[in-house]
Amino acid sequence: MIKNFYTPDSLNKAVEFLKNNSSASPIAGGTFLSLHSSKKITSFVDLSQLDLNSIKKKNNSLIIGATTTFAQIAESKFFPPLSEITGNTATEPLRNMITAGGNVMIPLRWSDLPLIFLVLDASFVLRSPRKKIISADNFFKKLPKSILNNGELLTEIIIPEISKIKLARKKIVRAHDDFPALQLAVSLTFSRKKIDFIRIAFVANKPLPTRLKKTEKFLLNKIPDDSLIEQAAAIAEAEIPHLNDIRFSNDYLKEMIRVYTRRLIHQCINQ
Amino acid sequence: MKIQLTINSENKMFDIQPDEKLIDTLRNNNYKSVKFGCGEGTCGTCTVLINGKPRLSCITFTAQMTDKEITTLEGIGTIENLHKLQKSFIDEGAVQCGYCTPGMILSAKALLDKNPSPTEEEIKKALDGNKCRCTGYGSIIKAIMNVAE
Ligand SMILES: Cc1cc2nc3c(=O)[nH]c(=O)nc-3n(C[C@H](O)[C@H](O)[C@H](O)COP(=O)(O)OP(=O)(O)OC[C@H]3O[C@@H](n4cnc5c(N)ncnc54)[C@H](O)[C@@H]3O)c2cc1C
Repeated sequence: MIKNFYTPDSLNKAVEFLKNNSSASPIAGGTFLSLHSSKKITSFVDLSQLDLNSIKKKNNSLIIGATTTFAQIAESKFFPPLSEITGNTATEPLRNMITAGGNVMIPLRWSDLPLIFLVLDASFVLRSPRKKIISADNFFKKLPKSILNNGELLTEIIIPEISKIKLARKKIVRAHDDFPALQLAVSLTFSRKKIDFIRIAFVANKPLPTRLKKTEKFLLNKIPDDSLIEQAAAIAEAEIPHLNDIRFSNDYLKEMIRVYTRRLIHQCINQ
Repeated sequence: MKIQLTINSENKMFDIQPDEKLIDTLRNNNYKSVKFGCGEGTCGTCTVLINGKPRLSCITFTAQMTDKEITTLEGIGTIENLHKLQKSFIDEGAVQCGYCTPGMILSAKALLDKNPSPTEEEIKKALDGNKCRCTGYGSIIKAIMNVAE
């Protein structure tokens, strides 16, 4: 039962309140918390007045404030593949509400940004108010919410190398706002025609994104051609564990991973 | 808790519960155009404009509305003085049971305020959060096209 709704106007005040109230929870867009708030939470700390809702480019990195909405990311022109993804997430009113920070703190099977930030090798800035930076690999090892210390807040997400990096993503859904069977994403960069950075990851029956490290290793430092990409797709299919899912068979999901690994690598190359 | 809200350009004080949803505050204070549908953010019948943008009042806490402008259908037209979108919906027969209509019109208004000459595709995208279970989408889109410049 919520007894208190606090809207601080500075990060220090928000952190202070959270440190002193163990049953308080930050709230951003509220699209998750308005439906699934735990009984243990008695106060909300609204993050909307903390000046964390902006998206900017600095050097070659994209810096997304934690309370930036999907609609704001969609309207920004800095990194079109990301704008395209957030511009097609859920529905118009939800895109005006869901924030980047709220989306990554509690990944769900349909959440778009955890997978995307993992393959883009993003960094996550936490403040308490002391600054701490966590890599995407560490951030998504377990439920991100559980790695935050008392009072700590996610303030920014930093995506490196946005002018160099190629990104392609497939979300297998019947309608665009439906629950997905599978999400798969690939990102890569080239140096003298060779792949010098690659991430391939998926979300299927579990909400946390998982990297396909054997497939990545196979492609790294190679010049991709049709035959190499076909081999990589077969490695991806073999690499994934058995995917138990009441709605989709393991064979179907594995086949989709093979097909879309191939297609998404081609999409990246052709960008 | 006490909160000042700006609804349809009027500032008013309200006494709310900290976990009260915006749809309840609005409906309990006679903004009856705001409709309760799924209650979980999927159908769009509870759409209101917050600072000119469509948002879902069934999954918004009223306490999140400090310093924000809320617009409901009551704020854009009256029976005597219909908004051009309301008139066009009537002329085009774009209202069947009428339950989704307030949300549809508000989403359309937000779109036209931003983009006065949208394509059919842009209209469909802007309305992707508003479900019409009478399936009257054809005439709804036509009604909006008629108002577009
Ligand atoms: C009908 C529906 C369909 C949806 N479809 C999709 C979809 O297709 N794809 C998709 O990606 N999402 C989708 N979502 C959104 C998703 O399910 C979550 O609701 C959303 O990601 C939560 O974001 P929020 O900003 O509303 O967070 P909130 O609900 O405000 O918070 C979520 C959690 O994050 C914590 N939190 C938030 N911000 C911070 C911060 N800065 N620091 C620390 N902790 C923080 C909160 O304490 C809370 O535990 C959908 C939601 C709905 C209702």
